[in-house]
Amino acid sequence: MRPDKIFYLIIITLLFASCSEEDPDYRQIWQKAHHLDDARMTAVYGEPSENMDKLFGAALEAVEGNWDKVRLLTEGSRPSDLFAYYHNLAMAMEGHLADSLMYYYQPFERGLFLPVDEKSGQMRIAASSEVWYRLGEMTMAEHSAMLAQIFSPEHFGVPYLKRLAEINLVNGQDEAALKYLRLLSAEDGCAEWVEDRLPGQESRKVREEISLLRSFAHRSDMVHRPTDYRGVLKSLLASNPDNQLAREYLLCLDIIVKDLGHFIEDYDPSRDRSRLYDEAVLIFLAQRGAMTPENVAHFRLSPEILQEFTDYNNMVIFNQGEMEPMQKKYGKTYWFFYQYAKRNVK
Amino acid sequence: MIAVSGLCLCAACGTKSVEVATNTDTAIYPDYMGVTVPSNIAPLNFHYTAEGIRKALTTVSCNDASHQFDGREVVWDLQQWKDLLASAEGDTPFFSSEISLKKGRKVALEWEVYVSADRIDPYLSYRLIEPGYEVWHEVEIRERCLEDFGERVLSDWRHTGNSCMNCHIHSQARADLSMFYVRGRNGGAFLNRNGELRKLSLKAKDMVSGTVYGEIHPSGRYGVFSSNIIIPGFHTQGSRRLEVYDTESDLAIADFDKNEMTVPPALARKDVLETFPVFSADGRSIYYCAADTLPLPRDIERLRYSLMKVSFDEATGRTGREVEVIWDAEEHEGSVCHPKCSPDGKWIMYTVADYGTFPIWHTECQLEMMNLQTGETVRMDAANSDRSDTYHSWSSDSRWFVFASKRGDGKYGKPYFCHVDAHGRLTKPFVLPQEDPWHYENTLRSFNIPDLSDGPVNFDAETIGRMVRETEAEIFQ
Repeated sequence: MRPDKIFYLIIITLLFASCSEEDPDYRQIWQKAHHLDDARMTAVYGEPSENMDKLFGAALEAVEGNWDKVRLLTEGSRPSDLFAYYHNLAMAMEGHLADSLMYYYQPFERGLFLPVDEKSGQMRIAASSEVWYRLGEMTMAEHSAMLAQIFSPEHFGVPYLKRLAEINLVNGQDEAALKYLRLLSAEDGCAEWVEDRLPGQESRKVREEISLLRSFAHRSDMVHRPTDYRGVLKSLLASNPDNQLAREYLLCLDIIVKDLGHFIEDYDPSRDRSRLYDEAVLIFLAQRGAMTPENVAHFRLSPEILQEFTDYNNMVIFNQGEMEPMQKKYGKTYWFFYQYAKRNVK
Repeated sequence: MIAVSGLCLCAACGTKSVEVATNTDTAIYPDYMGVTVPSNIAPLNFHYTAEGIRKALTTVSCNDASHQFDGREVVWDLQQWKDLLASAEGDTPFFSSEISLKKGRKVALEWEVYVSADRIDPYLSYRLIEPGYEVWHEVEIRERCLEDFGERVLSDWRHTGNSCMNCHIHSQARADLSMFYVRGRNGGAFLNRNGELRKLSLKAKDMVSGTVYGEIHPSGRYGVFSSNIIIPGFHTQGSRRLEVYDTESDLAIADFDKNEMTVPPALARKDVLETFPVFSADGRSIYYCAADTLPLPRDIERLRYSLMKVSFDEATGRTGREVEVIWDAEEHEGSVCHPKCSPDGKWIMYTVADYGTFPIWHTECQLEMMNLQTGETVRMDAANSDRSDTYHSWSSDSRWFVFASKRGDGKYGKPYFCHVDAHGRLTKPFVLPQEDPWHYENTLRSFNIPDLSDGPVNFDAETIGRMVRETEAEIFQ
């Protein structure tokens, strides 16, 4: 065979190898992206484990926006704040957060946002930027990405530099973006990613993403505490009512922290449709003795769900509040979560 | 700025590479074109910023001497540079270059650098920290020799159990009179005075917190400090980032001889936020910033600090009762912070922002100077940029000052030096020279609170670490 044919064959083989269905070695990618040798990798993240590999995978795929992969990596994982966070975000990005919320472990608001400080673990800090970025909340996204870099073992990580570059592109701060892009250009496998984001020469896909995120930008300013999630989401929605991700996060936040007063305030039955919302409305109305035909009509509650709610309450009475039989039949309902889910208080 | 790039496929390994040009608003980076430098400064190493440089030849000539550099980077031999400066004091070395770019394009550049006979204090200390500010991790304070590239660690996370540490400040750039904090359980204020290093607990029962901002009296006996309840908050608008404000703040005087703290009632009003106190050059006055309390963070944009003055009696350690407004926030529609008096007593320099007390992310914030003899304010356009310029400190001869500027990328603070003559005229500032001409592009840390000193201080990270572990902090009453 001619040498040039051998060369092309090798290239084709390599291309096929890189396209195989097998999961990438996320641990190795993570290690390389953080400039860690084997010993340091083990010292910081422990011995290889399926759980950690999935977490590395979820973090890496989320930065790239590969939500189907994030969903697959988090499905069936051990219940944790981090897996819930990534799973919820993947479902939200695919437009199914409300519908899927009760089908996954939910650690209250910590499955939606990750508050971080110097005592938080590095993976948690590394993850915290993601949701803010996708929502269009660039200040918190940048702060979290900066913290992720600060708290990474060598104060360096490709995922954080990518995120910082993207945030600055969205904010129109090209000089800062170029600093990060230049640093990334020296990293293996980043050249194409960098090239797609050079200011003024962005790929079409990147240009569209930047444009979308810019459309989410806050139109007015306020100063808030880092855990004022509701305030930030309300501000995002006031700036752009079409920010569907912010809308879904706001409603799910209200629901997951059992703040039904605010949920009803934020909820628009003509616009937001999910069985989860109907279940929350029913609790709210029942608690206030407001199950009137007018309210049932206003909130567009179907006879079927009214009946199911009645059945649920009858079963609670029948079982004298015992959790197990309720969980068996209603474990995937908000009614069950509302009644039985308790916060872990450390 | 136009981003330029080149993309190529490396045939041998199949990987792509891309060239990203930064700082292309100047032909060289750091931008040393037309700057004024002291005759004892370290070599001004730099690189050309254009993309696709094929060849570059740089010639530097002064009097009869001439030096040539081949290539994109211009990196001096230390001795050659020192010889050049020695022969160029009060003169202007001439730089010229011929650069060949791809597609046969050629560029010729010429510029001068003025070498001032006013030498600068040879040491600079700063905190190296990523610009997160709200949370720290692995922070260190370093001291750099400005005459070469020598740098050493004065205090770091390794020796202090990853404690946070705050700015190292010298009194009138004196190496034998300085102070900084190590925070946390075994921390304290470390006072370096006349060869002795002490660990102090500067907290008394009338204070709202431990001491935060402050300065040491020129005599070395006293310190004036603020105690602040500091709250961080985030702006929703992406470019404004972090705001830090005080919900309470007062001033206190520390007597380092008697280990006493005094809280003067006139400087600790409940309806006023007092902060950033400093002594006048002669030690007879205290300047500080003050604002009326407001509901915060709601009214943060109405929070404006004025510059105030009160007399100080060195014999008794007491402040006067009359407080004078030196710079009225309402009149100027701005907020002043970080005042610092020049050691010759002629100037007070401060930062002016639209509002608030944390100008690090305020792109509008500017340095301003007031002639203390005439009360006239001096605009500092030559030094200021379109990004945050703040945290300045004076050299001991009052002819130079250093400040932290976020010019360029807008994120990472870098120390810039500026010459000021007897009339308050400024020259184009220059950034702290680094051995690696790409240092500022590569670093992900800010130079925080740069402070000049006339010599190296007499402690290091090991000494501080030992004191953190083994020395009880002296209690102040």
